[in-house]
Amino acid sequence: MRGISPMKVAVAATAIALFASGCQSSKEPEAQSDGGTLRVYATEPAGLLTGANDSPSIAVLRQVFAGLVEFDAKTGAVKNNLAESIESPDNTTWTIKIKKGYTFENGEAVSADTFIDAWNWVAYGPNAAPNSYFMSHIIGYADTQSKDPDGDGPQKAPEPKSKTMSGLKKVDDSTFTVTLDKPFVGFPATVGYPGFFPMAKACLADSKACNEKPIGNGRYKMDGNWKHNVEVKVVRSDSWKGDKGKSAAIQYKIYDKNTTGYADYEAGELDLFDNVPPAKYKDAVATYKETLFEQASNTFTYIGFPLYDPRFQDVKIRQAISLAIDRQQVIDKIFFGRFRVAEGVVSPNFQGARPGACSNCKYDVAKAKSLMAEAGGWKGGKLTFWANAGASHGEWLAAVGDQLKANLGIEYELNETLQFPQYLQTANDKKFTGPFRLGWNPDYPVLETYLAPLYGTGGSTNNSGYTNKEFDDLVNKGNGAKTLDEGIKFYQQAEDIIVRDLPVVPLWFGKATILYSKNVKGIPYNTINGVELHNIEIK
Amino acid sequence: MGRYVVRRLLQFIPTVLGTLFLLHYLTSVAIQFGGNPVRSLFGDRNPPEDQLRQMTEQFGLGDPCLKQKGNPCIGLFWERLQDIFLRFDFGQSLSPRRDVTLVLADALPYTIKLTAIAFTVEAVLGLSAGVLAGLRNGKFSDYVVRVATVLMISMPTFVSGVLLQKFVGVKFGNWLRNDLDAPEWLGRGLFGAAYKADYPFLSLILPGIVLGSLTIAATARLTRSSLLENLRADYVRTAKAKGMKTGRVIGVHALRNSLIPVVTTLGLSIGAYMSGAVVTEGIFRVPGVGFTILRAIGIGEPMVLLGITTILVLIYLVLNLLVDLLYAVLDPRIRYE
Repeated sequence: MRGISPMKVAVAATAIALFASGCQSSKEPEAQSDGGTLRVYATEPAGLLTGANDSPSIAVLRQVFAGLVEFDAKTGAVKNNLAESIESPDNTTWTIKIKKGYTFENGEAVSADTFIDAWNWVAYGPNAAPNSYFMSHIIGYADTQSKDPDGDGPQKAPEPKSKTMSGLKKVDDSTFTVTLDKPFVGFPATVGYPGFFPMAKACLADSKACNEKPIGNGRYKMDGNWKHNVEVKVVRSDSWKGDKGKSAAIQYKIYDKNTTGYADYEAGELDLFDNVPPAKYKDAVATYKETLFEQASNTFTYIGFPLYDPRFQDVKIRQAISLAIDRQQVIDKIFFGRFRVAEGVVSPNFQGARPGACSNCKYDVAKAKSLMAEAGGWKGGKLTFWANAGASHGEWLAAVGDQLKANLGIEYELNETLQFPQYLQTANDKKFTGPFRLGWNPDYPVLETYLAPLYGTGGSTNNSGYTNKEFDDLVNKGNGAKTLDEGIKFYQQAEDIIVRDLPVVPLWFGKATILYSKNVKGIPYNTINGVELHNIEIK
Repeated sequence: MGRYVVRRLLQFIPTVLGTLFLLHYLTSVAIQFGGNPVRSLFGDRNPPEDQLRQMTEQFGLGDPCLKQKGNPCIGLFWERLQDIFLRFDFGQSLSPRRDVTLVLADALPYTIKLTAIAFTVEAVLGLSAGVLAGLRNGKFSDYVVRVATVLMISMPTFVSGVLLQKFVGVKFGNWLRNDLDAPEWLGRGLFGAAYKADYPFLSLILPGIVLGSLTIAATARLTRSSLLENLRADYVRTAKAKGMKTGRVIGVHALRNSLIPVVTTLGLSIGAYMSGAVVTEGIFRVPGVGFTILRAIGIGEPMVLLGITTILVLIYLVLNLLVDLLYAVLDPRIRYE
């Protein structure tokens, strides 16, 4: 006997394959009468309870739950969903009326209590819901947080003062009021976020079990428990009273690596794949141009200036740096066009966004040079760009640095030594020694979400240390405006101040790149939430 | 024998403690230098201080020593040991928030299945290739086995895994599925690009082969050389001279003695599969122990790593002990006093 030749193996394998296929009567894919199953790429959610704030969790929660409001797919405008009305005379005390007749999967009615209890549950510190801070503008939030007994210690923190927020009051079974600590015209838009979904009483009683199998009130319901690291499957709910989901079931297949997801998409195992690995992007666009969907998303990337460093306090220097960056070139060369140049600091998808709002974000070397000369030239020595380690930001930052060097003659170096948590801590502590890269995702479709947290005095993520009373006043005026449209005018003026003062260099907004299978009839895209999975039709 | 086993079991204690401490120290240093992993749950946003502190404490990461660079956190280690061994409480994973014992219970069955497949692949292919090469020493098939094993040894898993996934799982699989209209179990199950819940066993075969190929080469080579040595031994010649049938001489006399060193590699490779499947499980999305380790490292959560390692160290130690005891069964000359 000789060694087994590779030819023989190949012949044998082919024979098996042919034999096997011969046994099978040729099967035509039948039209799916019930709508079929949509197979979606996902990563492991952080939790399936109201109050999760990571995108894989939200993708599931949006189908399993229904909130008070929804967002129009095209305009992003707020539409009532479970809410009959959300009104306020002063933008501070909001009265929410809920439509009657909606129920959870277990038969419980969706009432004012189910909202109040859920919001209190999310806020209550010991429950450790990531979205807890969303409730922080409701009166009484502070009482639901446990205070550190000795400033910094391993001792067990005491129980919070209260389990409920005094700002939530039930009026009757389908009406309740919310009192905020200051006026906010955009409040109705915030309650469309999964942090504000209701919770069934059964879930509050056993939140651990509910995390594995949430009891929802939405278009779909859980089909069995969450299979960790494998899949979450939801099926169309019969108890949902609104428009039904198009497919009979949605299967969220959980991957850890997008390269594996891409391989599985190529093998025909996924109907929707939205995480094309950067290294495969060119290949994917070329191979799958028939079934590729691209749309501007809301992810904002910027380089922040440490304004606590005197070298960056002259606005002309900041403007010069911004004008000397050819964003489009970086996007084309490094990212193969996966981003859209920022023309302002708010997402182009949002109501009130203006193309070309930022005149300092254009590429204009002559103007940059003259501004730099007016400021007396760069005397800060070597510029240090900061980025978190292990996320391959170095390449594009170097491209930006090279442009500054060529256009303004500024030498630069990169600092990519800090892991992400440490990097964020450094940002928070205001210890950067040069421009730092960061990103931002909106929480709700109101321009305020791109403004106050990032540039407001005391804003949660104001890492530049920017402070400007005029800006704060304009945001507050917007928050207190009678209608959202009136508010937008003030927000736009506030944006004008930011693009003039440039506490950050706006770079680009993301693009959602979605590959879909031939089974799918196009991608219904919601500019706020992303793909509307429930509206995808399967052939 | 009994005393030997007891002595070995006692040796487990310092080994487990030492490993745990090393891992505890490394993960603590990672937090001291890399920052609080709870913070990364919030993305680019700065969470309110109160909320961050409460969550950090709930995940057992609130100890102030985790902020002092280089501090070995002995107090925290002592607490963790008490939790693990006295209360059987392995803590909670960060994302999603679950008891680590549950995370482990979910992951282990996949890895055990994968290990069984890889082990079968290794034992069957490795042994038969080794025996073939040993019996046909210097002939064509011997050279085929020797060249093939060199190739296998020099190919790291992350290369062979990705290549197999692309060309067998995707390309060949697509041809089966689309052009030949192969049945589901063959096209999607056996020749898929990743693990599938619909085919919990079939879809593990491809990753199992990748994993097993790591050690096939070593097993084949060892079997070959060991067999060659024994075929030349005096007792084999005696047996032949007595007029025994060749099959019996090789099968019962030579092979059995040649297997003693092979058993060691086979036994230890089970331990390697249990822990070393990180790459393979990652590529083929098998949600087993390796996959979980990979995720835990990515998120930077110490409790999952500590929990998994405790179990892995125990498995490894027990396997080692079993392999040593097997020697006595295979070779009556070995006695444990």
